Amino acid sequence: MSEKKTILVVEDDQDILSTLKIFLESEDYHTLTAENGFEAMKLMETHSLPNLILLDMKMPVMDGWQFAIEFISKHDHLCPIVVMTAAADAEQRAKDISAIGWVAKPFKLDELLKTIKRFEKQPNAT
Amino acid sequence: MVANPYGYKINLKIIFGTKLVSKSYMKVELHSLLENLSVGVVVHDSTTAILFANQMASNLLGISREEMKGKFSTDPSWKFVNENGSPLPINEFPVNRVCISKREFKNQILGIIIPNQDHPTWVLCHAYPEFKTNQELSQIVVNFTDVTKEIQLREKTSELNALFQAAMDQSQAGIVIADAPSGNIKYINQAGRLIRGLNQDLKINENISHWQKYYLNGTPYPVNKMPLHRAIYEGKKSIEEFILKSPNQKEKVMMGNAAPILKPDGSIMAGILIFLDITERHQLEKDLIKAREESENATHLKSHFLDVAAHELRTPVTAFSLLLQLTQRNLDHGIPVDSKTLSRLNAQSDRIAKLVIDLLDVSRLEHGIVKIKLEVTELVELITECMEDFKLRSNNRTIEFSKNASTLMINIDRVRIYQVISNLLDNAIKYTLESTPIEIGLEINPEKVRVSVKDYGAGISEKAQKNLFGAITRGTGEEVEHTVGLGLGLYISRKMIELHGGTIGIESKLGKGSTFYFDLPRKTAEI
Repeated sequence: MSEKKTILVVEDDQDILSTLKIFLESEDYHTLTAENGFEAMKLMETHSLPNLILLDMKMPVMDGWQFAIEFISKHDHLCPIVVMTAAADAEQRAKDISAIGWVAKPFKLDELLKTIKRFEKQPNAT
Repeated sequence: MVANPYGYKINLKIIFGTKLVSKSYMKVELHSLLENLSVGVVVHDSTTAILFANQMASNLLGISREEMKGKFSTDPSWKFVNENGSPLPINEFPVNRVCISKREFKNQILGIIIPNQDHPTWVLCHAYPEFKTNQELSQIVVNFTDVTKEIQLREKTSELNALFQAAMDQSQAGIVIADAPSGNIKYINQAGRLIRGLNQDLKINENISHWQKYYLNGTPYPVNKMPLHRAIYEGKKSIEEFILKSPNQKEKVMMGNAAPILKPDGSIMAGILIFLDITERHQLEKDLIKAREESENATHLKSHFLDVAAHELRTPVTAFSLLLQLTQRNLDHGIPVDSKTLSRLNAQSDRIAKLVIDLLDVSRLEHGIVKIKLEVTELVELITECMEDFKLRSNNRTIEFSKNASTLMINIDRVRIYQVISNLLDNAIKYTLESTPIEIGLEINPEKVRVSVKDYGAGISEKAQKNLFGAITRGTGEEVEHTVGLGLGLYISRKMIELHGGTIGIESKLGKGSTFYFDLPRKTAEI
């Protein structure tokens, strides 16, 4: 039996966060959730790196930009980051923080799933 | 004195000046010499009747020697003019002057009018008396040289000089000529004096180094970089715009063209600076650039506002859409919709509606069509009501209210002021950690009422503070992205407080938290 992949979802909107959690778990993922970058960094202190991070950009306390800088400086590019952004130029936002992919809000769950499957880090990959 | 073939004596020294001529040469060549002279020679007797005239005299006077012989100076056929072109009075004829004064008369310039010649023949005359041994006047010798070309050249030069002088004086451009290598100003025209603020009659006693110039950005020119200085000392031509500051004068923006003036051997004899006062044009250009920038900025900001509005709406729409998609999936799998999901959908729908209302508010405020409805309100009660509402919504977050009065009746738009307090509380709750408290303050003093909301969050940089209360007047790029959530609410709050005659502001330091406050004037607002 293969090990469940873990997705870390960092999103300040609780409805989006909980909906994504329910959806991803229904798709057989294990999820970690944080309402801002600061909480996400804290989580990473007690959990192993996820297979992918879904990152909102505009968040209170610590936003997506700050999180990306701190996370990459600490963990390099060991974990793929996919940006979820409401910005007009989502692709540019992803480039700004060296993210591997992006989904523009509002998005379809199927579309999100495809993006996750495309970029998620395989459990045994180094 | 030598005898001549015509039977009278001529003092050759008078004719040839001081030039020495050998006597033998005189004897042999006198006739030929007189005839070939380029100087006209006329010898009169003491009654002014002509005894002798050489060929050049005949040529210059336009009359044959035969006709001249015996003719008196008073003969009406002689037509002479003086230098200003008016007829020469008869007593000013050279021969008559000598005849009257018995003294030599030198360097008289007169014009000989010859029939059918369009201009006078100008001659330089010398006239000398010759005396008998008893000191009685015997002869008068007049010699005259053709100076027509010189006079015409002088006239032309004089005309040209007058033209140049007029051009220099009437030029709108300032013209300065400075000597090389001293740099002393030799000439400055009227416009130059005016621009420089110099008295028109004041003698120039300046060196170019006294002309302090400034670059357009306001920094002073080093002396050796000034255009006229470079023209004089480096031979460099330049066209530059600069600021000229003169004593007791406003700053003026100049367009200056400096160039060296060279001697034929190529060395620099002076430098010239021609400068135009372009202050008005410069100001106009600046105004145009500013207007264009403002227009471009306005266009950019409008487009940016649409981006911000779209961005703001995307998040609740995403939440709404995801909840619906999940509900659909559940229904597809036979799982019924639960009331919690419906409440969430409802809340997101409210959020979208609030944002739309905010956006409409912004649009109406931008167009100045929002009116406030003043009503007597108890402010302490209003703040308490708002605080309790937020405590409920934020899972009993610690919110404290401190005030220096238990009640305050004030004339305000109750709905709008509630909206402002809500906005400030909403931001404080949303952008700080749950564990940190929020403090509401009400401070009443004789002039104003201050309501403040203090948080212990990350604080806001001074740079970000400047643009915090503008709806579409914020910067671009990341900064906007970071502060966008605060933007509409704070802009609306500012406008609402301004409609009450009050002010809104922030005191914040990075890492120390922020205090948002608004002041309402008591005079107009309080009952």
